[in-house]
Amino acid sequence: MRRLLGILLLLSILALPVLVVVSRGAAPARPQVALIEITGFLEDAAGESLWSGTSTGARDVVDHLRTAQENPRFAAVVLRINSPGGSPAAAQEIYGAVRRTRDAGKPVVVSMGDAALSAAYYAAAAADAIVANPGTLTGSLGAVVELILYGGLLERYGVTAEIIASGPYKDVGNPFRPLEPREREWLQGLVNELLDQFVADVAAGRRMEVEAVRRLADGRAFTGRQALEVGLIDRLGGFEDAVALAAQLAGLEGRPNVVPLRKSRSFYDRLLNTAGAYLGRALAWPAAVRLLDDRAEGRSLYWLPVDLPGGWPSRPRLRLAFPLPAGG
Amino acid sequence: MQTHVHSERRGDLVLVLDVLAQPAKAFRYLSRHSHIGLALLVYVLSHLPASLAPPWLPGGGSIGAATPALAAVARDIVANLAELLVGALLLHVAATIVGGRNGYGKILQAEAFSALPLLLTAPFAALAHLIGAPALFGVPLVAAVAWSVGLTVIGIRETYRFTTGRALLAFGLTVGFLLIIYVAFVLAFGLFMLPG
Repeated sequence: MRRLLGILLLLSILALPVLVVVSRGAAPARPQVALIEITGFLEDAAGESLWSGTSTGARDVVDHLRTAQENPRFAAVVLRINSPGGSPAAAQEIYGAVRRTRDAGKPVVVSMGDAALSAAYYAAAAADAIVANPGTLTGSLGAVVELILYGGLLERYGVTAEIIASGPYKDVGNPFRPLEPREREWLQGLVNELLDQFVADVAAGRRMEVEAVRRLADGRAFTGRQALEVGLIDRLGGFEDAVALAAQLAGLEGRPNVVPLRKSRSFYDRLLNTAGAYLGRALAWPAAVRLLDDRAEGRSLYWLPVDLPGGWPSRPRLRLAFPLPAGG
Repeated sequence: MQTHVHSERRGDLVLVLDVLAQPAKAFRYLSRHSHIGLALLVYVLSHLPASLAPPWLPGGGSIGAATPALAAVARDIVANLAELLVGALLLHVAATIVGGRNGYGKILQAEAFSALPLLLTAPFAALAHLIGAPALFGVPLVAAVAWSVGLTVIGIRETYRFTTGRALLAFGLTVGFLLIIYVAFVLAFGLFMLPG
């Protein structure tokens, strides 16, 4: 027993430098396909706080794409997307990283799950091929800014706001007052500019005419089948079909090993993010208006979760607490 | 006639093998002798397989083609040593509460040696990477962690010279304390910091 343990110990110590070498990709082995997942809201950095819903950080995706690009073990990349959209800048980061991976000679195939809308589609547009199920929701090309103006509501309860700004456009979107026509025009210009960028990049990535893409960029979503008809995707199929296509484009025979690339987190990070996020949601994300009775004073308080644009409904950024008149 | 019994100082290799093959005897010896340097070396080496394993293996580290290996490993070593120091301190407090008597240094080295099974996963990590079978590393890793926990409990028992039950209690108190800290943190964060 001691001898066996001694041999195993010796092997383990000898294996350490071998591990350094193989981890750096210097020892090529059977080619594999890297799987990178984009799930939930797309933003620059995945939420680390307890209040984050499911989201994917563009920085993580870019890191994984670089790993797949530089490591000779990976012959191709499958990007699995299940996202309602998110930040245009985050999408552009991923779009650029996908282009670089393709330029390095590694095919990138996108596999769409339930949905790949808006910024998620933007990120996918740079891939060699896009595969979606007939029932996948995709498209929704465009940009949107939503402002919730509750100045009138607060005024009813005697709450006012004074804003001192350094310029005429500094407090655009101030929730305490309506938008002025010039502000509305300026925001519209912003949104139009984002749309132009979106359309140009999709046209370049999909090798389509800009005007053809613009005709599709009225904000509507498409099913997978409709998206195939208008040229937004390349093939109908599921995840396995996307893997097979990636292997085919990489010149691999048979079904390759699919290796998920995930951000390595310490045990404490995982514990905090997973359990803490559940607890945080239970405390802070009511599914509906929640009533707190203040029986002693005969008043009722309402907590109203207010959703800001661009994310799942479960990401309230603001709460309003206001008393109702007695008896209300 | 007085008979003096001297317990001989053991060689490093013998001690390391004894931790794996005869843990009770080894930890009993460690409760009276200091091998802190060897203990820290063993601890650092034991965590290297996880640090060096490619990120796509379960429990893998942060080394990839785009990550400087030395920086990532150095960062992990510092973090692991910090965890060891804090973990041993908490164990020492818990064991003292339960009635144990010994020095912090002794439980520190015991806990460090308890990590030894993790070192044995290195060949599995290399093999898993070479043949593309993540489970080949994942399963031994789980077994090594379980073995390590077992050694920790034995280490506590022999260091503080009490029963296995008390050792388990001390271990449980430490884990429970960490959980309480965690829940308190989450609740404090939840109650006093609104999302914005």
